[in-house]
Amino acid sequence: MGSGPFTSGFFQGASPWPEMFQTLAPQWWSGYFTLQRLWLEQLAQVPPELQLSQLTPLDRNFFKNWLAAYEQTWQPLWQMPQLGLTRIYQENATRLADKFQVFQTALADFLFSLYQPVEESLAIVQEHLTVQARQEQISDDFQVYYRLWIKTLEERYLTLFTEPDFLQTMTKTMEAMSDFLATRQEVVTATLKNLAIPTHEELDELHQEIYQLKKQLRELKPKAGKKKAAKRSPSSK
Amino acid sequence: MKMPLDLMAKLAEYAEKAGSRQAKAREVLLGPLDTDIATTPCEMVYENDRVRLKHYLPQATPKVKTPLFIVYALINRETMLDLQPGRSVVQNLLLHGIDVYLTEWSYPTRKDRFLTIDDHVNGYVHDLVDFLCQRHGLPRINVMGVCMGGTFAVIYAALHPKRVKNLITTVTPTNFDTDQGLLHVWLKQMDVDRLVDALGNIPGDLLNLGFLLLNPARLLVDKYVGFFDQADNKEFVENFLRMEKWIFDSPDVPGETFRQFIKECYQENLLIKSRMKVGERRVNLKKVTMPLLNIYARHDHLVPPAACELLVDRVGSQDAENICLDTGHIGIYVSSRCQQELVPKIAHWLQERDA
Repeated sequence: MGSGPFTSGFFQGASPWPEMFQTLAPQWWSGYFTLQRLWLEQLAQVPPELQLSQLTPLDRNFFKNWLAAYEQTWQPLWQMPQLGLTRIYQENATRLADKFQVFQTALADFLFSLYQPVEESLAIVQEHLTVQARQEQISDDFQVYYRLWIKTLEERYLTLFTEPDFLQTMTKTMEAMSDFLATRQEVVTATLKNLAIPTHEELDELHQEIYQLKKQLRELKPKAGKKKAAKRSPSSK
Repeated sequence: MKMPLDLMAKLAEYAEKAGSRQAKAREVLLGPLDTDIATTPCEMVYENDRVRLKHYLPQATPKVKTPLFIVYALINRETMLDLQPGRSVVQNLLLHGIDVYLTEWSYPTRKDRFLTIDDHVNGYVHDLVDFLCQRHGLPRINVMGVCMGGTFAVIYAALHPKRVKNLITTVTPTNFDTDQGLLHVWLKQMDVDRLVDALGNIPGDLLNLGFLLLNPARLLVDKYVGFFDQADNKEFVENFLRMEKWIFDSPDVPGETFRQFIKECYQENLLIKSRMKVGERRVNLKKVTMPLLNIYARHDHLVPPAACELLVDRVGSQDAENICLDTGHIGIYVSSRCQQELVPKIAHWLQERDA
């Protein structure tokens, strides 16, 4: 910071810098430590059964079971017939909620299966490290362990990706995504119609018509060309 | 306690190196970078709907009088063939005296969702070939296909054999009944009707996500670890960013074309059996009678050799040859080693058949 007349004037009456810091720093630190203490106290209030160390590994079938439970409990409620003037709108909304729930669960299951190889490969590297540590043969090149992990991870994924269970999970996720997107589109279309805004459905119809017309035009063009040529040639006169 | 001390010393050394590398990387990443792609001079000579045709300006004395028309895939962009000077298939072809034309499919919009394989092959590709034949006053031209563009080129050659003088296919899937590549395994299961009905066109990002999932360890982790390891190397960073630019510049694929390609090729494998129908006409591979050069890659995880190599046995041509290069799906076009192998082979093969 400059020490010209402006600066000295600005800070006139204030303590010199080092003294100011000596006064302010303990206040800052004290505030910071208080905040940290509050965070730790907050963390300590997490019920024991939810603390990380107490959590058991997630069962591989958790999301499948969750979906099955959802299908038995909540889904019938969503699919319950609606009544009255707003029936269609209510049905649209509940159908969208249902498809969203199914898609989210399928996606969670899919992502969970993608996470499995990460956990397995880390466990393998950990085991490898433990054995080497026992034998006092730990390599001081970190790249060795990184390469081992990547290679193991790649192999685990390759195995996973051909398993029928994974293929089924992936297919279900794609289907659930397609269903959710289609339903969302239907709801958006219904809303836009009420607002007198052209919908995808209407534009698609228009595009299809233009597409068919262009195709017909393309087929007719050579025929028209031939007719024109025939008219121009003297033999046709 | 020797081991932990060693480890601590190594950690300290590693941290020091990482710190210095980080400082250099910061300079590189914040400084000017040349990451332009597709810089070989060209002119647009044809345009129809979203489709355009690039003509590259000659850079050497012509050695092949018949022009080469390259049909690129609908997936990703044709800029891959011209990533950077020195690593450009297009530039290399020009330097070998070949007159190069390249399709640019551009970005399909919602209105393109109804376009089928017939529209692409008997429509756009056919029009482009007609245009080139007229422009050069030739009855037929040389056609080269890239990946899915190769599949289109094979279909075109079977339906319009009189228009194709020589056919070159590169990493082109024609036999889809194989378990060698994960893509073939996954796509067999896919309910493509549901997907296309819901999405219209298939988003390029969704396709890219699928490609990344084929090898997440390498493509989502190791690749970027490698990048940060060498982020202080300007040339490496520039090359890496060019590739990133290309990979994640993915046009959507017209829905009906995607539906037909997945159903009739990946799921029913009709093309190699000469049972596929395009525009009401059967694609009979025996009609592919012109010379055929079929190039594929040994380590291709997208289009494995099993998906490519059968073609030469199924076509009617008496002059059909398979060439397998020791690389991967993209490496065939962008690796410096393959640049030295692929293009001279193509140029030599075309010269021999240019009479």
